[in-house]
Amino acid sequence: MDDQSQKEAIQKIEEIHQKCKEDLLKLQEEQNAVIGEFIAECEKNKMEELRNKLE
Amino acid sequence: MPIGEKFPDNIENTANIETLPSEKESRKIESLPDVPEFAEEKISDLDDGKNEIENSGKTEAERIQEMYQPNASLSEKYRKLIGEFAARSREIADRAKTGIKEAAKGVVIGGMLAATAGIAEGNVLEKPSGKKQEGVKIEEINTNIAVEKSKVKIEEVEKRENHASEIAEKIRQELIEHYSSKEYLDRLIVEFGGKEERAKEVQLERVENLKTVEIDTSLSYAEFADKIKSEKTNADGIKDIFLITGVYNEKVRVPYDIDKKIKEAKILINQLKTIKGVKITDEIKKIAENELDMSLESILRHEITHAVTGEYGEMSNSSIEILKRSYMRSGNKADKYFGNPLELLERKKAMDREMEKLGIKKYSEEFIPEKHYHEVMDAYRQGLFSKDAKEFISIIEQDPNVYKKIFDEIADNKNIDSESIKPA
Repeated sequence: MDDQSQKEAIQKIEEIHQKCKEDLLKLQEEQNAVIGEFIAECEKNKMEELRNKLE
Repeated sequence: MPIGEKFPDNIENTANIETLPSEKESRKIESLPDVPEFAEEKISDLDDGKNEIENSGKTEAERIQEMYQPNASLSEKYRKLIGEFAARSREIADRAKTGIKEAAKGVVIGGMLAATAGIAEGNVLEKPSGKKQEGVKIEEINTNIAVEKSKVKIEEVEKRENHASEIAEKIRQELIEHYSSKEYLDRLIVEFGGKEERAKEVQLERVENLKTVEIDTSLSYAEFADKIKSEKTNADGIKDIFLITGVYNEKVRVPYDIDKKIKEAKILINQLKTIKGVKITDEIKKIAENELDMSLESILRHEITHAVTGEYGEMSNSSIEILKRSYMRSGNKADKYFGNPLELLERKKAMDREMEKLGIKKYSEEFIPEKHYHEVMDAYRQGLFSKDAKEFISIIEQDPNVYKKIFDEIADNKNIDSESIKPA
């Protein structure tokens, strides 16, 4: 195996790795948004519960 | 051949032997990384990324659920959503891993990774001649890979821990230097009404506190947050959901991966800001807007500085009074934390250090309101101060004379007739 094919393989691996990292990061951001919604829902429920108690 | 099926006895193990480069070839490629090893590292990294999504989604959702409804289990809707994210992350990572294995297989047929790729896909390995060969001791290779992978993981964690502990030790040394200085002693002598011997005793005690305080950076954020939560050291609502950056309670504890957690928290806060009905405190907003330069280093510095006066740091009544009078109440629960004189004192110490570093005023110098106050405000507007110093400026009354009183009359303060206050 020559240097050139070794280099090409490394470059290809690097590209696949980079693309996957980017996709995973996007996914993590999406997941964070869902968790954000979950917190919002919990907050809303808590407020309603408090309001009911007060009434 | 499915994994675990017995191999015929007459098949020889050729996977690694066939493609070992000759000595000449080895010299030729020594400047390039070994492809199988390189691919293994990348795969291991992707596994980490995938695991992070799976684990953080699950633990974060469960933690929030636990906070709001401790006795209920996670709702079906969110369980499903989090499950979907985990599945998508596996899919993305697996697709990439296959691509990486293919790329590596094409280059070094007999490499360990290529062997695994062949086995995982149920394929056989191909010799350069084209003759099919099924001769790999699967268990041995898989065990080796597992061992190598755990080694890589352990090394990564150790590397991060070492990085945090190196920074911590550097800060400890800097602080020891400052608290051992003549300038500091001179300030203490003034604070102790000219009693030099007493001031020297206090100085020695504080330097000793710094030298001996245990600094623990061995935990990841997840482990750290669970521990703190179980100790109930910090349980004040929304702050608990997002971030507990560090603690001083007998010893200094800061998670080694706090920088990463801060980055994640910023993303989360920015998402939360777009959701109607979610109330985010100004303090939390500041994190997302980079107004507070929170970092492993600034957090360590803050917590280690707590150790100077010890856990039950005692302050003279006059210092308590000065700081309490100078604090601008916000009217919300943050007052409990920021209004604590010991927390105010930590931020005052940061101001002392940074005014000197920025060339505004030496520690031993008298505070001149007409000069120094304006220089402080200029530096503040230019964003030159750290998180602690910025907080000091935003919570202390904007009055040059108040500044003068604080910087001229308080060193770090300690007095025999003092009232004891515990840091938050």
